[in-house]
Order: sequence, then structure tokens, then C-alpha cells
Amino acid sequence: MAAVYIIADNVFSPIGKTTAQNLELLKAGVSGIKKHHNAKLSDDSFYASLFVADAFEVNTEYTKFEQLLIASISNAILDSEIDISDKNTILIISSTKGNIGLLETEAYSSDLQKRIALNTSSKLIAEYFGFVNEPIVISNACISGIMGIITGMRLIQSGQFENVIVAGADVVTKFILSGFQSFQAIGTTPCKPFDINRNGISLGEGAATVVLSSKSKNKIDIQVLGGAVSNDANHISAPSRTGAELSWAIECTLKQANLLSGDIDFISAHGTATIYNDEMEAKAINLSNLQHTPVNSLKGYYGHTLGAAGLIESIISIHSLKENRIIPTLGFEEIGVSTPVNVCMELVHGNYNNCLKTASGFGGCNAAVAFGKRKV
Amino acid sequence: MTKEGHITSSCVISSNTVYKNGKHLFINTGADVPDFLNSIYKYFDLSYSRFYKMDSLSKLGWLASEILLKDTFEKDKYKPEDVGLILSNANASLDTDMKYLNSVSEIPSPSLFVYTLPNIVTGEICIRNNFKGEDAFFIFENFNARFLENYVSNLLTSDILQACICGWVELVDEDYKAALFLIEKDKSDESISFTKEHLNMIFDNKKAASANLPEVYIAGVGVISAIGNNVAECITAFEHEKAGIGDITHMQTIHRNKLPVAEVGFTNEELAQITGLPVDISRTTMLGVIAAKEALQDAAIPDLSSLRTGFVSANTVGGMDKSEAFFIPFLADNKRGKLRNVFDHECGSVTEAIADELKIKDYMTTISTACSSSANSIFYGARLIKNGLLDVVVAGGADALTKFTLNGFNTLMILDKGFCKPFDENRQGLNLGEGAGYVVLVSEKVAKNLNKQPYCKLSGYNNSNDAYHQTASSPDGTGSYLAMKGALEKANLQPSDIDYINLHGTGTPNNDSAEGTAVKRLFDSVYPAMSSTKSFTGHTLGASGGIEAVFSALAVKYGLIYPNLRFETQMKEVSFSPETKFQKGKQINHVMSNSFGFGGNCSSLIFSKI
Repeated sequence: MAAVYIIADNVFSPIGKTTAQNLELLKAGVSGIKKHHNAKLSDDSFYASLFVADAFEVNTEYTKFEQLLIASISNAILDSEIDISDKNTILIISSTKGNIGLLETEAYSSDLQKRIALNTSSKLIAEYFGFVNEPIVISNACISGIMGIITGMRLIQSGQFENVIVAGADVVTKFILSGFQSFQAIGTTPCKPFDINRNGISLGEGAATVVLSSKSKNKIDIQVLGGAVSNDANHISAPSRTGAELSWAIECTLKQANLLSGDIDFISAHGTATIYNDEMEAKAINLSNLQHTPVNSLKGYYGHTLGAAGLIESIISIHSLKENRIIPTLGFEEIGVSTPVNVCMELVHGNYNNCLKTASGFGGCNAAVAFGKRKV
Repeated sequence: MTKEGHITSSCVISSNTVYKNGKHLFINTGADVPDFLNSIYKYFDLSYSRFYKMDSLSKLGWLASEILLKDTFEKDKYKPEDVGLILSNANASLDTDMKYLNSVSEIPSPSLFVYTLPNIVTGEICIRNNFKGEDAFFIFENFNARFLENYVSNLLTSDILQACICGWVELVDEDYKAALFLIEKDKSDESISFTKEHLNMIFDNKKAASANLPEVYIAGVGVISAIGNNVAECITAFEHEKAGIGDITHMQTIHRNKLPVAEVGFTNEELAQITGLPVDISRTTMLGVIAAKEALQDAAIPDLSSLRTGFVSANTVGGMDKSEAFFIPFLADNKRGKLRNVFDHECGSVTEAIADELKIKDYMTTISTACSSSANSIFYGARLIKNGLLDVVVAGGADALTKFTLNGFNTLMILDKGFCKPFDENRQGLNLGEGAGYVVLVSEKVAKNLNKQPYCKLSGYNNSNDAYHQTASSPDGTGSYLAMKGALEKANLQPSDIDYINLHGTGTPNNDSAEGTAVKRLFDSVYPAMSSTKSFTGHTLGASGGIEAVFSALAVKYGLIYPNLRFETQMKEVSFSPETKFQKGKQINHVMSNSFGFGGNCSSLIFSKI
């Protein structure tokens, strides 16, 4: 099977517009999460990582969601040297709710229905950049971003495409915020993954892009070594009680990557900071015999960016591999899960070669992907 | 990339109708979407308390999955992680998104919010069935069969999944459609290959059955009958409108010069010389050898010995001609005959003897269903290929004239003392004939390797029973109607697509009346050209379906329409009349061939241009 390299990337978040900016500020402990009072989004104040109000153009054919994707993809492909209009290049978009915010402001009509549809956005973006293939859109709850990387990996491994650009984005809207509030899933403080005092998520918005290719480009390119998806078959909004299904996805990923649990240098967990998610993840990590492996959650910096989360957190992780540095779990102070895991509390340095990125989402879905640093 | 998988089940829910494997199981017109979904739940007697909590999209997808898996899916074959779901639609969860947003101005509803993700429908199906393998939800503007085919076959090939439910579940307001497919690695009785063409065909509600399996082609034809000892001679006889019916010359019978028959010109001695077989072997076998060999030579399949080849042959009375010869002296003095001389006169031994001459060893079988026998052998041969059991099948049948049949038909009083007049108001009955006809059926793969273009493909076939009487057809021609209709459905064709019907048209008052009524009912006022070639060859019984299949294949290939000889007077019961002139070079895309037999056994075959 063809090797799959990540030859370029971008994180476009309230913290920074390039991956480099994001990394610098993450290392400095800067978070995008702030307290907001915004009547358009919520009657009550809330913590979230949001772009400043005037960051996006209003009188354009592209919505905020699409502008985010365009900005992120533009920056990622800048120095990737791949031919966007080649028939061997394809775009994958991941998002949970895309342009759903339009429902809040526009009168419903069949035109609006079409405008909201994710494939309308993907088509506009494909036309903007000149992609010749119809983009693939994934909307698989909070694992969408990782699912995008796994799908892209398979398209290259199976020889269907040479280059796959995977981009994901989500925007915080009243729709999304009110929904998580109705679930009482929003924390009363900036989120505290795996912490004993955690009480819910902080939402975030952002976009991220990875450029996957069958050919390596840089001296060190991180490879996508494997990935797998599973379903809890237990509950549509609550995670598995045992973590066995996420653990199974991790084990399939390791098998595909030809790695043992001891080869994993760190895990970038989903770590949303809800009681149940973090508990389930800790169980899964234990089941996979990874309880001593350093684990972080980046939700304390970005909040939960939904369809972008898997991509943003994967990109930070692959740069951690490149720089031999693990980003700590902002907001974490004291372990608060019943089966202990080794949560990363401070910036550490080491010699790192392989990492895992995991995510779980509504609908009972779980995903894991393994990245590896291989000298080319 | 190697493609893997078979569509072992499908369920489509659209336009107030539920289809499984192309058959419509339930219809509830006039109901709005919620009522329609609830009515499906009740009709299929489902019991699942979570159903009432689901949003409409999940209900739709869940119902489709229940019907998809019901009685089809062997859950015990798989571990939970072996089974996954890959679903898609265009508008994600928009229907529930709107409902949720309406709740936000009052109290945001968590129970609605959870359904504002399209992949919740996959979660619901996973929970119900304990499926724990990969699941994903993709958004496409339209049903993307190509993507699904690639994606799911990749999951199966790389052993990520062993079985996968894939498809489309869409619901916004009153617009909805679900099309789910169960893809498994092993094929089943009713499975069809997992291709984007099949997915699209099922999605578009074209009969799933019509998408059935790969095509079967006719690569070679061979015939011997009263109008010619090979294909070329038969075509010449048609061209000259020269019937093969006349006085009995070979058989010793009291009916000589009284009942006309359609004899093959060769004597038994001549046949023995041509075939190299001993003269005491049944005339049926020798006729069969000649026609089957011609068909195989005509097909000229490269490297035939490396292919899995079968022989499916029909006849009605086996070696009866030799039994009769044995019986006369044996009856006079039972010391003069040995029973071992007749033990192999049964129908199967004819097939075995011909197969020996053809050197076919992989598979052989005999079909004996009266006058539809050899149509059924072609039908069966095609299924052996479609199901991947064989690559090549020589299929058809043979029957020689015997006193047994002549006397039998005579006692039924359905023999015309003159030359038969099929589909004529003044028809009096049939003339018996003899002969053999075989086609060489080949798979798509074999067809591609031929050094020539095959004649046509066998696109449709059906066998239905009249369920009326042992030897008479029902007045409405129910069996004939069902056979023709079923063959059209199998071929995914409309009646108006048929350019020519080779009628069963025996010339008996009963058959032609029943067949005519069935044709009238099915083809209404748009009648294709029609004729009965039995006006040339007589009724060759177990050989007739094979002989007429050869004529039908030639009709498609060369644009031929055969005349119906001696037609004079329009039948009162029907408004159409048969063709009376030989025509060639016509644009003929689809030919239907009818063969109906005693026992109510009715078969129709459809031959289509490639």
C-alpha cells in the first residue's frame, strides 16, 4: 500500500491564522477561550473560543463557514506545490453543521435549503480553488475531522488519488450553543479535560486543513500510518459505558500502523471535559494498555471545534512529533477519571516518533488515527 | 483495486411504497410522511420502543434497515465489529434542524437537538442490531453509487468490514427517500453483484430483479429440423417460404398418408453415418448431436477446455423410438428381447450420450417439462452462468418423431389432418415435427474473448404455471400472460420494446386462442410483429423451444421476421394478425419466444441486441 504523507497543513483559529502562530501561542499557554456576553448567541454569558466579530466579510457570496475553509485551505496549499486542478487531486470537507446559522437569520425557502446543504459549500469551495473532482463531504458528528483524514488516507492507499486535501470547519451559532446548553453539557468555566472538577465543554470555532500526498515533500514529513472507526451501539448521545469500542478502534489503528501500544509516544485525546466522555476515554486508554502513555486534550485552548476538532488537534500533534514536544492539557489540575491516565500537565520534550489521535461523537461513533515520523 | 461484495438485499422506501429486492411489499398512498412511517412500522409488525422517540430521518432509515435485514441477514455469521454502515444524503439533518430551531425560541429541546446530526440514524441502526464496525455519513448532492461502490468494496477488501449496510436516507418535509443495500462478501441465492450500475438501478426503482447478475450471451447456434439440416439451410427455407411438412416416410405407422408430419430428411442410417454413432442409438440422440455440435463449432470459443462447460438438454420421450422397435417383437415373444436393451431409453441417457460426443464433462442435466422443455433448459443454463457456476452452457433440446407421441396427440384430437394454420380463424390443430436446436450460452467474460460478436444476449426469461388443466390452456391464457410479463420485467423492458414474437402458435384452437388472449392483454394495441415458425417445422415438442431460440437469435442478429405460412382468415377473438412474408434487414432489438407445455408449464425467453 502507498505511504501517505502530510506535506502541508494549516490551523485557522481564534488563536492564530497559521499553524506556526498557533504553535507559538500554545507553547506560551495562550487559550482562545474567553467569557462572552453575546445576546445573539445566548441570553446567559458563556465560555467559548470565538473569532472577533469583524473577522469576516459580510457582503460576499461566501458565508463565514466558507470563508474559514477558504482561508485555511489557501494557507495550507500555499507551499505544498501540488496541482489543485489535477485529476488526481481531490478535496474532502468535514463539518457537523456548516451553514446551519443561515436558518437563524434567513426566511426558509427551497433556495435557502440548497444554500445550507453542505454540498453547496463544498462545490463553491471546489470552484474557488479549481478542483476538478466532486468533493467528498463528511458529516459524522465530532469524529468528522479524523474521518476525513482516514478517508483521505484510504483514497491514496488504494491508488484512487495522489493528493487529498482534507479541510474541516465549524462555526459557533445560537443553534449549536443552545443545543449543548439544553443538554447541560456546557461548562461553567473554561473546560477542564480529565480534571476532577470538570463540568462540561467549551465550544470553539475554527478551521484546519491537511494536505495528504502519496509523495513526501519535506525532509521530515509525518505519515498517516493507519486509522479506524467504530460504533458503541449503545446510546445516541451518551458514550459507551466500557470504552471497549473506542479501544477496539485504537487497536485496529495500531494493527494497521504495525505498531504496539508501547510504540505510541503520546495520545491526543478527544477530552471534551464532559463527565462521561473523559471517563469513557480513560477506560478505553486503559483497555488498550496505554494508561502510562502521555495524553493531552487541546480543548482547553480551542474549545470543542466539532467538525474541525479532529483536524486541528491532529495538526498540533504532528507538529509535536516534528518538534519533539508535547503540548500540556490546559485546564487540567487533578485527575478526575476512575481509571487513571497519564495526563500531560506541562510542556515536555523528548524523542517522539508515533502518536495517536482519538475522537468520539454523538451517534456512538469513535475514531482513531496514528501518525508517525519517518525519515524519508 | 479489486472489487468485492454482493448486494444480498435491498430496501427502497419512496413515493409511499416499500420495496424489498425490487418487489413492492407495502403501499399507503395519501398518508403524510409521519403517518406513512408509522404505518410501515405497524404493517411489518415491528416492535421497538425507541422507534417513537426517533426523528423522522432516523425512523425512515431505521425502518428501511429493518426491512432490509428481515429474513435475509444471518446476524450470527458476524461479530459486532464485522458489520458497519456507510450512509449518505444531500440535506443532512435539515428536517430536524428546523424543528429544533423552532423549539429554541421557547425551550430548546435536547431530545430534538440530539437528532440534528445526520449520523444519528446510523447510531440508531447500530444500537438496534449491535453493529459496532465502521460507520460514516457522507453528504452528496445526489445518490453517488460510484463513491459507495469504491468506498464499501475497499472496506470489505481490506477486511475492515465483513458486511456493510450502505445507501441513501433523505428526508426534508414531505420529500423523502431511503435506499439501503446490504453488501456481503458471500453471494446468496438472490444476490446481485455489487456494482454502481446495480446500485443505481435499484435506487431508481427499476426492478432489482432485472439488475440480476451479469449478462449471458449467445455465442453459437445449431439446428436440425424438417426445413434444414443446419442453420443456413433453415434460413434458406424461410427465405423461400418452404415448409417441411409432408407425408410420413421414416416411421412405420398406420397413420402414413393420413397425418402429415415434419420429418428431418435423413434416415436413421444416414444420421448414423454423419454422426459416427451406431444405428441402434435413438434418433433423438443423433439429431441432438448434429445440432449441438453445430452450435459449439459456430461459437468457436477459444480455449474451451479451460472453461467450466455444461450441457443442459431437453427431450420429452427419450429413446422411445428404440423402445417401440424393441417392443413389437418382445410382445410377440418375450424370449426374443433383453430388458437391458431398453434400460437406457430414459430421457437422461439421451443427454449423456450427446454430452459424450461434445466431450462436456463438467456439468450436465436433463429437463423434461413437455413442450416448454428446451426453453426451460436455456433458462436454467443462463442461471448457471449468472450465478457463476459455469462459464459456458450448451442448452436446448431434441426430440425425434415416435409412434408414441403421434398416437398420443391423435387421441387428444389436436392433430390437423392437413397442414397446420397457426393463428388462423379456421385452424384445426398441430402437425408434429422432429429436430433439435441448441444455443451456446456464455458469460460476459467468455463473450469478451470471442473472436466474433455474439448473436445477442438472453435478457429475460420467466416460467409460470397456468394452473388450469393438464393438457388445455386456460381461456385467459393466464400462464402465458404471466410468463411473457415476467420475462419483460426480468429484462427491464416494456411491451412496446419487443419487435418480434416467435409465438408458441401450435395451430390448435385452444393454444392459439389462449396465447392470443394473453398477447392481447399484455401488448394491448401496440402489437409487435408475430409469427409461428411451427408452420414450417411442425411442433417439435421437447426440441421446439431450442429450435425457436435459434431462430430468435438469428432474428436479432440479422433483422429477420419469419412468415406464418397458410394464414388466411383473421381470428375473431383478437385484432392482430401474424406476419405472412419473410423479411430481413429489419431493425430488431428484442425478440420474445414463447413455449407453452402440457401441465400448464409456460415459458417466455427474450433475446436482445448487444
